[in-house]
Amino acid sequence: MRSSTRRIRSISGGLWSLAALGGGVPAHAQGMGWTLPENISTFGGEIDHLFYLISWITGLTLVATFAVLGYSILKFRHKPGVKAQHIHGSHKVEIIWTLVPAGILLFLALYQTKTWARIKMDIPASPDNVTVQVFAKQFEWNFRLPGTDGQFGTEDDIYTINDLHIPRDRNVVLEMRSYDVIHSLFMPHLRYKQDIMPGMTIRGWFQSTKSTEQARTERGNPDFKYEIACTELCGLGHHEMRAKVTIDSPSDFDAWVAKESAAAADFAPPELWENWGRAGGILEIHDLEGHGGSHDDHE
Amino acid sequence: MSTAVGTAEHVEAHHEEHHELGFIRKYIFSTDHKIIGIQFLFTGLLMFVLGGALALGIRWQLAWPYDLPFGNLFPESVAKAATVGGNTVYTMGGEFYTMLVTMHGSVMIFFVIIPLLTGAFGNFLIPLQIGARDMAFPVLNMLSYWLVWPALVLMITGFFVDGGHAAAGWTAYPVLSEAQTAYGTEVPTPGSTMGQTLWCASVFFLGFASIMGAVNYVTTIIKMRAPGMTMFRMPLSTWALFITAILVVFGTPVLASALFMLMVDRVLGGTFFRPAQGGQPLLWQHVFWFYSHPAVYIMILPGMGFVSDILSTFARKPIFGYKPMVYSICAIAGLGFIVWGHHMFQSGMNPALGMTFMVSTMMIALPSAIKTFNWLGTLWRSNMILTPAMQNALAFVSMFVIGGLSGIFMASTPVDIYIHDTYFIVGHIHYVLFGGSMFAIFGAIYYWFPKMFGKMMNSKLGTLHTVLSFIFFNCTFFTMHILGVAGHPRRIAIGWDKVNNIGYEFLKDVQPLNEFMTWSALGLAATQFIFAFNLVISLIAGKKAGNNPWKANTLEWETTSPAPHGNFGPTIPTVYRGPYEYAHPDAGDEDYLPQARNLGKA
Repeated sequence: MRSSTRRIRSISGGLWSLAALGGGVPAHAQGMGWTLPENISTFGGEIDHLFYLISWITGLTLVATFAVLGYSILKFRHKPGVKAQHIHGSHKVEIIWTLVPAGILLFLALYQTKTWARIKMDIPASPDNVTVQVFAKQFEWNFRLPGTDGQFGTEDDIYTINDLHIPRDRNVVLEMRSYDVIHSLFMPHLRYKQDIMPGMTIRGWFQSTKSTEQARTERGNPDFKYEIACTELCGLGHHEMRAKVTIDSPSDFDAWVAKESAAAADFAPPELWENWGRAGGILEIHDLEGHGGSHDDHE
Repeated sequence: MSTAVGTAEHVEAHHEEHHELGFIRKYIFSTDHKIIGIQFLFTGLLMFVLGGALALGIRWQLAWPYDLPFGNLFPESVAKAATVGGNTVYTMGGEFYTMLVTMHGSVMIFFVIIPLLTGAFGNFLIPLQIGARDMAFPVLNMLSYWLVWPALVLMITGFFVDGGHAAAGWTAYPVLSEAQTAYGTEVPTPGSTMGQTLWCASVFFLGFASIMGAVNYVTTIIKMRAPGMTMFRMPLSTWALFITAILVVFGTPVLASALFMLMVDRVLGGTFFRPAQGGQPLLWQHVFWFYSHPAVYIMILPGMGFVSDILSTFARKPIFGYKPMVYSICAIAGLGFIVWGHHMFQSGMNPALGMTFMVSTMMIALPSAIKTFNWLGTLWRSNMILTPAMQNALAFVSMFVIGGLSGIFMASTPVDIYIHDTYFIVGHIHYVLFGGSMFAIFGAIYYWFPKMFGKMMNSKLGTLHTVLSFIFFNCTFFTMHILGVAGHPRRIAIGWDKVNNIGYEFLKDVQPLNEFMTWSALGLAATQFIFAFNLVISLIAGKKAGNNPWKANTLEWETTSPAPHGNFGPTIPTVYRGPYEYAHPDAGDEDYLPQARNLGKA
């Protein structure tokens, strides 16, 4: 076989393989759960859209760059007695490959500012908003809801540990503080992440479009739960700082709140919450097994 | 011009007075930039082994959190024995794991990449490539290497102190990095007794070594170039090292101030970062990243320079767009100072800053893209020889493209909400630092080994090492992007433990990837033994190298291999042209035209 035929065949074979990979891999990946998890957040769609847009732009750039590189390696191999092209550059080409990427990058940057503002800068006001206080601590997530009176710090406040219990279809406004070190609240399916800085109260929001119940039915898995991860190294128990998000339908949520609020009067609030308003950054030292827990557990 | 020659002659005369140097002054406490460069090289490569071992520890835990294979071979502090269902299993505690992730990053960044790129090659190449006999301040240069050793001793000691080594991440964010046995408790947070303090002190020393070196490089390049060596006739390696040195001079003192504040907090009861006493943890992040972002450009720019030299030499073709390449290096460095906030998009800093830093971060992709296109332009219609050095340079270009493109996702603040602190970031980091910097370092070693040691490395072993490294590298680190997209956080000791059903359920599907990556990482580590073997065997019995085994144009190839003390014999070469005149029509039958060759033309 002539070497040029062999070369053409090897190039086309390579390109076909690439195409197969390009088509087959994403589809296969989806089936294997190797993609973005299900999005149940109202603003999650915008994030995913941007992710896919950037995937396309970078993917095409990658393929084009690799094609030129691969072709060059295959085609421009050393031949003795032959000289390469003696060229130092091309002004025209430099201008093109400066302005075009610059335009794309600037477009990308400006295109996204609205989404960023919507998620991180503005908290939508609505009478339906549910506010939850998040008190992150080595190595557990503490939550407080204001109860039926809508006020924090009263007898009917509802306290949960490692379970963010919220309604679907309503804005959930978070007020986040840390008891000790920097933590970070990450809810993958809700496309929400916020570092929690000791000494500051950070506000955020999100809204879920689906309830845990619905998710369980759809998946056929009665044990399924939406999860929370800590995404800022917070010590030896960082990997154990797992929690779940329990999302109720609005009516179920209201019923739950009513029930818990009524029962709340019988319980003393966890001692931890006395420190809510404090400047923070208090470091509670745990034993080396990494077990968390509020003050009480240490006795 | 005459100043440069005058200074060079002065240095030469000074050296001739010290003709009878003993072994210690010649090879240990040497002021010869070439020896100092080689010292940095070996120290850096040794630390690469340590950093790699730490990484394997991380991979070991992530792949088999339920029962570490060969766990019985390790002490209790590493792998704790437990009885589960009648069997003994070995698991790693969070305290050791968080130390591993911290020290892997710290060692690799501070003791491997920066010393190898700036210390080893900066020292070795600059005087040779500009036609100087040595650096402007040879004694300062020697001190810059020897300052590494106290830093090393401090860093290694940290592994053995009570409470273990630093475990707050290489980024050492307070309040975690400030944790002490404070507030009347007896049990320390891991790493919080001496470990973190030693870490701070070590990096502090290292910073000084860096700054000393950088001051030398800048002065030498400005003042000591050979006759005819204008700035725009310098090789891109030198340009890259020059701009990198400027970055080091401006950025490293800021790191020093951050470390100083942290030490004051830890040791002197300071409150810079303690909110309960009016401090602000975010301050650390701003100051730390103000240095650490330029640091990542310190860690890539020299590599880009080396790759330009290597590509041009083995493409037998001039670099495409030399001036745009220089301007791009400058742009990367300049823009590098105004993007640090992209590490802090989700930190709690004012989100309005997310907008400004997003724009500057997007724009910094531009000069890197321009460089990539110019490399491709160099290869187009070239006459390519695929030596191991060239293979590594090609690997650099391709892997840097992936690393750079993945950066676009992170630059996008809304997307960053999802991928921040996940393995997507870890994948990006390793594509630019291993796929970029390490392949550049491998390439530079293959390329300049003959000039350093006067011997050739084995080319077949070189190819084997490069190809295997490339394959295992991609298997290990591309997969991290998939993990990140699935939401796998960083620095967690357990993704999903399938035996005990512990962990994040949303990571169940990607846990097999953790195992796959560990096997690949083991392959990658094993492959490096081929490189080590090649280095040793070539040092001992490598084929003797001539002055210019690669038929390259730059000044270092004008002299013997290895270069003598004083670099160039009695006369410094005069430079007549740029560094990349390959395939020049005036060179007759040759496909290269050295910078110092006098064609007798005006």
